Amino acid sequence: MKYAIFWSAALSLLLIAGCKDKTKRLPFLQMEITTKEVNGESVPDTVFRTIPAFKLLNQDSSVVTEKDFDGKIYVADFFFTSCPSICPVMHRNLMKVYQKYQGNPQVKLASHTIDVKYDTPSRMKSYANKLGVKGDQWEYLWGTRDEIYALAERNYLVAVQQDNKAPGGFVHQGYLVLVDKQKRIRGAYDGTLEKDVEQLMVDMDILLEE
Amino acid sequence: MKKIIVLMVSAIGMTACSPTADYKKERDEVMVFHDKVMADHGLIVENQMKLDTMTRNLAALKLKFPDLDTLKEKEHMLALIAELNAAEEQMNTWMHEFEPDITGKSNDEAISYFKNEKLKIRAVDSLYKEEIKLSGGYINKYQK
Repeated sequence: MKYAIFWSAALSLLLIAGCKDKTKRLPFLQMEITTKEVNGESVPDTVFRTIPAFKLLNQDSSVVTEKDFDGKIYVADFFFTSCPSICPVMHRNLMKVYQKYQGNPQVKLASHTIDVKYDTPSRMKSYANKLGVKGDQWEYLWGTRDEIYALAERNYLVAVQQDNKAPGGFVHQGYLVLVDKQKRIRGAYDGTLEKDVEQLMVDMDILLEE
Repeated sequence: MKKIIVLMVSAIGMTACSPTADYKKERDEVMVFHDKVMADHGLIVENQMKLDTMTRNLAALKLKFPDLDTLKEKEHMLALIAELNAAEEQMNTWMHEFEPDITGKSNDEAISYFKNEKLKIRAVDSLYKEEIKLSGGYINKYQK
């Protein structure tokens, strides 16, 4: 009996210690369980979908590719400079994220314009200047409309799309998508809600510790 | 005399307190409606992309539908794309011209401006719905 109590206590202590050391991790939003053949047997295999290669221009007309985000966590969103409603609120909230992580080489922001005819890099530069954004930590990205929509609908916003019953319209709903250092999507937040943006920053801190 | 003064003060007070229409309400309505139409904007772009992909995969479509006159269908697809493009351009023009800032306008002028903008964005909404129905119907025919 004494031994049983001793081992129970020891086990409990071990479990408590184990829980304490376990740091919080964010989920993978585009994780797929597939099967693969191992020694003639089908076994489950986990595949993490990642953001594919891209080549866009930023507000300085410099080429930006996925390589510029290597080893960094980043927040992606879709906007347009003449948007009168959602985008100003979303970018006002995103400004808090920019200010918190300004100068942190492990963090970037990537705002993609969906109005590619009007939002030329120079127009986005003026927009960035008006917001007080300097340097390239917050990239305002421009590409062809097909490139931008493909990235939005097939990659960044797939998780949002799955949770959304309305057909279409995900691109203009003010979502902020959190991507990890391996380009896997780890969170999606409503950029128009302050509490969601607060949660985004909490989650970014967790992701930086991974 | 006292009665006249009391009546005058009451009349002025009532006029001052009577609710005047606020331009902000009108402006908010335009913006909320615009956001709703933007959901369809995504579908307009999506259908253009689908049709564009179809024009580049006519050989595969011919295999699936052997009776297809690919030349005629390509023309039809391009016409639908052009219509979707024109609708998208109307929305873009509205967005670029819309001015939410009321500097230089009185409250009444601002109300009249936002009411007029509401009519414009409603016209874009009707056009979007029509074009989505047309192009969506065509795309679905070949996605069976």
